[in-house]
Amino acid sequence: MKTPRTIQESLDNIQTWEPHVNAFLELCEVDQEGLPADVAGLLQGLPIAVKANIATTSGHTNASSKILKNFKSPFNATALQRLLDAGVVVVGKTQEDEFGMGASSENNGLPPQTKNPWDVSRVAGGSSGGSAAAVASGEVFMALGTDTGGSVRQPASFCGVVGVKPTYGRVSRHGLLAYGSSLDQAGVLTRRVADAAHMLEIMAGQDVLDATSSPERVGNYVDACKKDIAGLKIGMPKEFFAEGIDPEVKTIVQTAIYSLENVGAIVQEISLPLTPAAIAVYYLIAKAEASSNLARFDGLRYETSDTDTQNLIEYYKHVRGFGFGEEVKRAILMGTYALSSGYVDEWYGKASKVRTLIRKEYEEAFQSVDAIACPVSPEAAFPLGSKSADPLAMYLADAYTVPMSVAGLPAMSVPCGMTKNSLPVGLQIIASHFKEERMFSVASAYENAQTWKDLTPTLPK
Amino acid sequence: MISKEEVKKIADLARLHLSDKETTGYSLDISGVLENFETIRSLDTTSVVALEAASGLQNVTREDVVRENILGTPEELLKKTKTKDGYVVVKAVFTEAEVL
Repeated sequence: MKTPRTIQESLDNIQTWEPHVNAFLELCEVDQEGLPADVAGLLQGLPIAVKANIATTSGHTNASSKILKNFKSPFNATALQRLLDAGVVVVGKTQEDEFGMGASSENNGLPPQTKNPWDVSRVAGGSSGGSAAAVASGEVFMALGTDTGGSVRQPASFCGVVGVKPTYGRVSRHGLLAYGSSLDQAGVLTRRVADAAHMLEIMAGQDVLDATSSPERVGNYVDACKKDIAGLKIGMPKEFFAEGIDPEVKTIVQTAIYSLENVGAIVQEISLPLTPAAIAVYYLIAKAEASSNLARFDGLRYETSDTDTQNLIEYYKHVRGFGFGEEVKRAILMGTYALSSGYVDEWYGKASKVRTLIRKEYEEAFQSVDAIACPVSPEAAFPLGSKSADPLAMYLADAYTVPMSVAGLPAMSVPCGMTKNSLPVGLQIIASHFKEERMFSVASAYENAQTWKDLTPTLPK
Repeated sequence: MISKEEVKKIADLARLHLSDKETTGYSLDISGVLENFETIRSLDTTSVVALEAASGLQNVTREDVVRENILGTPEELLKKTKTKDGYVVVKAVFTEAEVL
């Protein structure tokens, strides 16, 4: 399946694939005649999809939540606006786990259920599952997602596409419906590394509307993709290959990492002993921040509901109890608990301190290596419904992506092989803070040296 | 570890209506998750400063200039909202008994 470069190619592929994969919550009206003619950029008319939790003036911005079902944003997210200014066209809003909370896009608050284009009985990953499925099936050239604890990288890995989470602060968060504000970043999904680099270069950079966006110089990511990686030291952290990883995934990822030696890199084993602690740190912090961020949804300003409640407090409880889905309510409860008087030091406070230690551990590792390579997920795409009854199992699916989120590092997933069941496996490449150029150099060198990049899913019968 | 009563109390703080079935379910699975997370308690964090500013930036300021309608006009923003005389209409904050 060809990667679409025009709106018509995109719409054709959507017509063919969408009934099988359900990547979209909705398609936006695209006026092909009305495309801005004054934009002469390379991206003129490129069809893209945008995750439902990123503000767009076309279509709805509802984070796949009943509480925001009919919300239309009067503005575009900064990251998207920069791409629009370069000429891209939004063809639709993609499905996700409600407010980004999940690893399978099964926690969607609004229908339909996204499926993996490689095997429609399996999940596309999450939370940016719709965005990954849309790129994998060739429905769009590129998709925007958000990554709080792996929500771009893990679905990219499951769907066999490239997924990039930049350094925290690299891309403006203005217009992203917040989950965990100290962790959230907008990310890109494409089929090729160089395309992701190109998109990120446009999106990145300081924004007056996000005080946490960094003034750090934006690198030349496209040129970085052409750079030789001979002599670069690649660290392979042994904790990511310990218990819990599927043996087949382990072999595929190890083989991929050692293949970097063929292009001149030096692979060495390293140790990041705090890796097992990252899940607890991540979830305590993310849920605490979520409980605070989601307090703003009171069912009054974006959409008013008719209820027979007598007073304002009862109205809030009713609207929120009905409007939020199971996992979002669990997050709010867990986060409120972790922040509540008597427990805050023990849970949120402790997690924030261990977060410092995890960040330091990575900073020290980057003293001796130029990049780190490891798996994105302990397994390939799992069957629909296989984890949805067990929240802890779903959280543990994020074990290899949350450490970089906690540390604020740039990390990306690159397709690195297929299992015996023909499911894609992703290789995760991590660089130190604001060193996206190095991450792209390694990813691109890897991509150029192998053949996975030419594999695309076949249409289900 | 987290009783049904505690879940009810937290839900009340978080302004969430839960059914009895939900309360029981959350009591069980949040307890299970937190039990798994206990492992971080054994890590030594004496004299470790908590990481709170993830970007590492400090004192981000801007010119004190009013910028109009960055997110849209008030009309656009209140389009889905019940309003009266420019105010958002809400349910009564106090019940009659409390007013008296």
